[in-house]
Amino acid sequence: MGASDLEVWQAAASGDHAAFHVLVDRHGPHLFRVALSLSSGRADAEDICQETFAAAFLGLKSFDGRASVRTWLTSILMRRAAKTWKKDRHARRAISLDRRADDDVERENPGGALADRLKVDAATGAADQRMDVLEVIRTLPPEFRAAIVLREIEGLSYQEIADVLGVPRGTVESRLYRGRAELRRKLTGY
Amino acid sequence: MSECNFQLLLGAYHDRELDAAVDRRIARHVGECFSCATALRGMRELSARITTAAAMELEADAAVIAGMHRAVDRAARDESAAVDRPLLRMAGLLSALAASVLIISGVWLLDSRGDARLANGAGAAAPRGGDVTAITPDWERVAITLRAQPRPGIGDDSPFAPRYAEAIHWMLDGLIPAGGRSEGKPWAEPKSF
Repeated sequence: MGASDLEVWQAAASGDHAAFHVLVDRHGPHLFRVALSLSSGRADAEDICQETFAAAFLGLKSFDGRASVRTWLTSILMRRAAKTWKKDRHARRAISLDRRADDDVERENPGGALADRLKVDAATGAADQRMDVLEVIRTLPPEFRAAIVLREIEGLSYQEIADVLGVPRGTVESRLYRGRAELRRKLTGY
Repeated sequence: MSECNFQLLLGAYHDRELDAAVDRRIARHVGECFSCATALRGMRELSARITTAAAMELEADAAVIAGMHRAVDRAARDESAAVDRPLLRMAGLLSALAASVLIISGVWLLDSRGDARLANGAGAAAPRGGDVTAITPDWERVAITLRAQPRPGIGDDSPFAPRYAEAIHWMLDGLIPAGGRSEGKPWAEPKSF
């Protein structure tokens, strides 16, 4: 059995750069899953992950060891993703203007516009259906999206999600409840 | 479908985040409540769908992981370069300081030369090489100025001239022995000025 994350982190913090690469191998794949769920594309997700590991490497000594290494890395990733989200806000505003017409239709028929769009995609096969679930997650408000991704994809506990997002545990519970309700509503009829 | 109050806890029940006692209570309730059982089934289906999609679509390939390793190597290089950065910063600071001193000195020098030209009436129209006072030091310039412009009132016809003359004689008398003084007057009447 290999060394624990904490032991590897201690080695990296004391100057063993190779040890940090072990952490990259261990946590890179799941961090990439989170980044890809939160960002609009693969390239963005790759950038976010690279920035996350670079920031973690430079801030090795700032980790106090109270949370798990995985939680620490995930919290860095969430901050990076939020920055990317803010940076792209103007672009998204422009897109949202185009989507406003769809939203108006959807307001009259909740879940209808998106469900119709997804139905068209569904005709192309099961692989598209899987992708569409992720697409719907990406349309959720950021706070619901983050909670759902961390729980459903990352499998973090409520307390770990609270640590990562810097919010109380009850808030995590509430966001998950509302996020799931929103997700079901958007997937209705799909 | 009417919502049951227990539905608020269903999410935590589904995520196995409740303590054992509450968990058992919810389990019993779900067995009796059609609404909660349906909601729980929906949650489980949704989770399974997300998990499947994530496993299929969100896998990081070797190139992605290699990119992360490269990012760490770059960060390591940047960090080691940052060690030399304080020295470079200090050198830059000293260079900036030296440049500032040079600029201020240059400006001061040009300014003092301009003053000298104005004081001697040279100005911009002074003949090149003709006016020596334009480049003389301050003390010498003062001396030249005094000689060229004697104090007003002495040697002219102004009403103050006799008073200056009196004062000069009074001072001179102080230096001459008593016998040499003029009779009846503390000082001699000036003959002419």
